[in-house]
Amino acid sequence: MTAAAELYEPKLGALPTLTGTPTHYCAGCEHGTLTRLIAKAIDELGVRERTVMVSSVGCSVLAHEYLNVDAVQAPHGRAPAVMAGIKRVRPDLLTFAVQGDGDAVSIGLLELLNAANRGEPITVFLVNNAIYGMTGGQMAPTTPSGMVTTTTPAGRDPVTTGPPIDATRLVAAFESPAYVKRVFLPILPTPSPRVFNARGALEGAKAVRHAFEVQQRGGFAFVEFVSTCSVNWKLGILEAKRYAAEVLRPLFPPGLYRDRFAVEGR
Amino acid sequence: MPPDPPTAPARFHVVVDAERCKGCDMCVVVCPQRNLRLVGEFNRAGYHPVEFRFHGERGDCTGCGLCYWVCPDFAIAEVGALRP
Repeated sequence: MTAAAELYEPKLGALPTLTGTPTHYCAGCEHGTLTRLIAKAIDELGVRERTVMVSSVGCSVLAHEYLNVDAVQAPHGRAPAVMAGIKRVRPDLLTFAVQGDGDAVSIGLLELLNAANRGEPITVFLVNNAIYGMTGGQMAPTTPSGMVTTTTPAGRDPVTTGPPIDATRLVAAFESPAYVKRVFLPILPTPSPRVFNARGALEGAKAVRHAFEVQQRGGFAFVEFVSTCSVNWKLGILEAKRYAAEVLRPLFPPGLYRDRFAVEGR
Repeated sequence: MPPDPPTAPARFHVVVDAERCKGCDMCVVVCPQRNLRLVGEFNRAGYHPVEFRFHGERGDCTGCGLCYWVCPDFAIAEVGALRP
């Protein structure tokens, strides 16, 4: 292996923004994928020394272990408010948060929507896996109708719990946000059972970079990453990807919902 | 998959950190050439890690980097091109 490695020049390799700590995420979790996409974008933009990550609450809180940037822990759901404070005091810094759907769409929805309405120059990454992952698989606001969780053992009933909340459309309903995008991050099944498509990760890489560029130009950037939680969905890893493609993708359609600075396609 | 020949490496090479790998299978199913597979042995964490073969079921590694981008555990540590 080492003899072979000397023959080769790294094309893709270690990133200075990744600390090298092994991830604590479950196998096949998109949180890990997104962590590398964020590290890549920070390295490409050369902003590591000026970046402050605001940690949310949930599985996403672990990101500060892996990303070699300064971090502040926000109270549950309040990451957009903390980021707004950071940017008002130090506009030269780049700040972002990775929030889960329980953090951003449940307890923190008010902070998210008000920050979006004010058009704060911050970047919010929402990892929507349609369930509370860290606490053991309870129903989240984004859980699709009919999905079995520990708090909805008969499946989510929209009569008593309402239909799932679409955070991207909520944010896009305001005039102020400059960049609103939804990416389907999991690998996408194809008709062949052992062949999957990795387009989501490549689109995610571009979306992360664009979200940072929009913030540098003074706009509010929001990217939702539709993800999986195979452990709490009680499915195998590849079965969870298939479920996400069949159920979550039509429910949360990926696409560009706002691009005021026309950063896409440049 | 046939074993790698001892000489004549392919144009691209993928370095796998087997101790980080959690055997999630994602890189295996996105690899267009089928250059990756899970091995029968365990790593220290108790997972079956992935291993790279120069010559996949459908040809040699093209260095596309899809395995690198989807890997959630940074276990696909490096994608290298043959030095000139």
